[in-house]
Amino acid sequence: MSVKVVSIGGGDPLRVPTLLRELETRYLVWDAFVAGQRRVDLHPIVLPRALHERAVSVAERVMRDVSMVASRAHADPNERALYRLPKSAERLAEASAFARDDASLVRVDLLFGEDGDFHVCEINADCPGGHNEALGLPKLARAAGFAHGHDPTRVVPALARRLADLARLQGDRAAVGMIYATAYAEDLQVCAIVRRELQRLGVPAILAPPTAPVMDATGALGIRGVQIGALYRYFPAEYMEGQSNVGAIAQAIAAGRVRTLSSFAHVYTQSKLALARFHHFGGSIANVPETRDLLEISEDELRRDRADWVVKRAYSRVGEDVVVGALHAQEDWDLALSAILAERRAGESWIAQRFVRQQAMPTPWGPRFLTLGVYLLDGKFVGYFARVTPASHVGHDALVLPTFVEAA
Amino acid sequence: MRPRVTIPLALFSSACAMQPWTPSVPVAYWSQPVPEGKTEAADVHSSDVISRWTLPDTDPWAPYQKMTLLTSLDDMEANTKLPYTDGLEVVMHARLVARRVAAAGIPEGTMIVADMRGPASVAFGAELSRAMQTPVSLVLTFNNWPAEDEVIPAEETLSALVHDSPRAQGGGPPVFLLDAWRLAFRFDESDPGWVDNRYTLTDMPTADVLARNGIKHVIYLVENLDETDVEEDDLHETFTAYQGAGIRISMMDLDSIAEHDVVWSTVLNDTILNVQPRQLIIHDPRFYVGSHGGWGGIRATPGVHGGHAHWGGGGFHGGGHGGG
Repeated sequence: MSVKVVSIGGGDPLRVPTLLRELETRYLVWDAFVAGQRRVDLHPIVLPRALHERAVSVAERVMRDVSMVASRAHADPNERALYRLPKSAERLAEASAFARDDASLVRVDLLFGEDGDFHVCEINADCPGGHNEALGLPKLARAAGFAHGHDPTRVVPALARRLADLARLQGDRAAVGMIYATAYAEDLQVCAIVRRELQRLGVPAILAPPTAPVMDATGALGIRGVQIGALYRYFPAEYMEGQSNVGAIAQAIAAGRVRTLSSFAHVYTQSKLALARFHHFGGSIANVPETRDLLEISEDELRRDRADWVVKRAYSRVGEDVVVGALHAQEDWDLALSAILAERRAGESWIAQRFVRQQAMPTPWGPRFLTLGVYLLDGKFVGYFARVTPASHVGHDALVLPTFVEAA
Repeated sequence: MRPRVTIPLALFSSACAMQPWTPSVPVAYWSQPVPEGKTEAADVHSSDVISRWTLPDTDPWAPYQKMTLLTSLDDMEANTKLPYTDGLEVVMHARLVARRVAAAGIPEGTMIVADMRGPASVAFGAELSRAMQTPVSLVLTFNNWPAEDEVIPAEETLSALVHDSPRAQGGGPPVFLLDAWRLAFRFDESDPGWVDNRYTLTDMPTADVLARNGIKHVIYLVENLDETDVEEDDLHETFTAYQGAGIRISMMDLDSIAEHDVVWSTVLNDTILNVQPRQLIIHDPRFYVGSHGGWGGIRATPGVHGGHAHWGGGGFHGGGHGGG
């Protein structure tokens, strides 16, 4: 079985100005171009049904098993210390765990391997993105004439419904607070598209910085005087260190006065160290490449077997904190490794992960590697966010494509 | 919307906080207040406004335009009144200057970067487009939304876009329209409840792109050189690269064009900007700490924990073997 990208009409459907305008204005993808280059396209990835089922199964199982290991950090202070999170993030995680505040939107990133199977390289458990493209690209592919297959992605409406349900636990008038770093348009676009969906459901939603929520006299959390029943967090938990309202948020969570999504309880799963701990405790799923704390692999082995290893900062949020041995000359790898090992020995958390050899697939732009992001809402599949790249490393040159599943 | 504007507040705590004098400094501290207008958001057809300002797909500068601000129209409260910006002195001044530039014509191989208070940049672009004998390509770069309790008044620029119109867009020299508010208040600490809707320009064309399109000279137009002596911080690296590639940059203000007949050979040579290495707020941890909710706090500082505040994993934010 193979994955393929199907060309729509042999041309470039986003050259149709109305489709590009719709992408920007209806689906709020404001960064369709980066450095003058197109970052999205409409030629879809088409998954055979069996591969779709495989991807869903792998993602759901890995999330379940790895998050179970990561949750040990809630009860065990020694385990918790390994994650090296700031105290503020630990406090928020503790509050969520205490209150059984456990809603989650997660994206498990799968690499399509040479063996024709999917392999997990990342779990984005804290605040995964890509909502706008996941919503808009399949619809625009349809508008461009792609009539086959089934669009399985419903992440934005499903997320909005879940947030609405969480808010209503606090009463019909409670709003959804949507916190994000307000100076970044790429973060605003995610929250704005979800807010539009919430408004369709008749649920008020407020866009605000993470510093805005405060506790009112009744112990409820509020933003600008409006009670917040659910907090949609598009802001990493560890970045909240130093905020004066962390205590208020934790208190409201622990008291059951607000629900969060993704719950702070999942902050340990976000760390790439969770995959290392999964292996440490004997966890074994064929689809999870061996992952270890960087210091568990001998320096000699890392240097010698460069092409077999990828090293990553445990809480890295960008590709720059990832070094893929196979893509570097020995000299560069040695230099990078020396610096990273020094950081690790100084207390920063880094992991080493076995390199996954990927299968290139034919596309209109030549052979490309696929990273298939699988969205899970409360552990269940709600859609895809797919990127293709010319090298086995998703970076600035990744192209985001819609994903369809072959009709049965 | 309740913009935090034009009030010198307790912001003069240190003159150093305002240095160097970039276009955002005078805009932040000495701008003329803008009155409320009569137009309500409900009266505006966003698709019409977007159509008026969008560059055609075939225009080489289209990939650099940002529709972000215009898309906020559909999310505004229907009874929100847009401010009346047409009577601002700087707007009228910008229109006059645009007509003078149009009369002289834009020198061949030249790109204009208008970095003034948003409505003035918009007025300059629209007037230039209408007054020129030949087309121009106006490139919008406004990349955030207005908000309740906002830090900068994004609705000023939005109102100008709603009420003004260029001639048919595209097919001419590029004129990038910037809002100098975008990096105002440099090191001032934001109130935690405010929406810090400032932003940086992250997507200007490279020197290679300019060269491919025959651009050899950049006119950097600011409001007033008495209060501005260097380019804005988010343009520094771009301009340094332009300079290194042999593209000349002339930094001029409205007066330097308005008070004389424009003789480009003189004006361009007399106003060459020599971009010098300097400290930038976008690399300074104090900037990120000062607006935790806007810019992400200390961890978002480039180089701190390997970080920058692009954690979404969407788009170019990483993922796969690349992280998050």
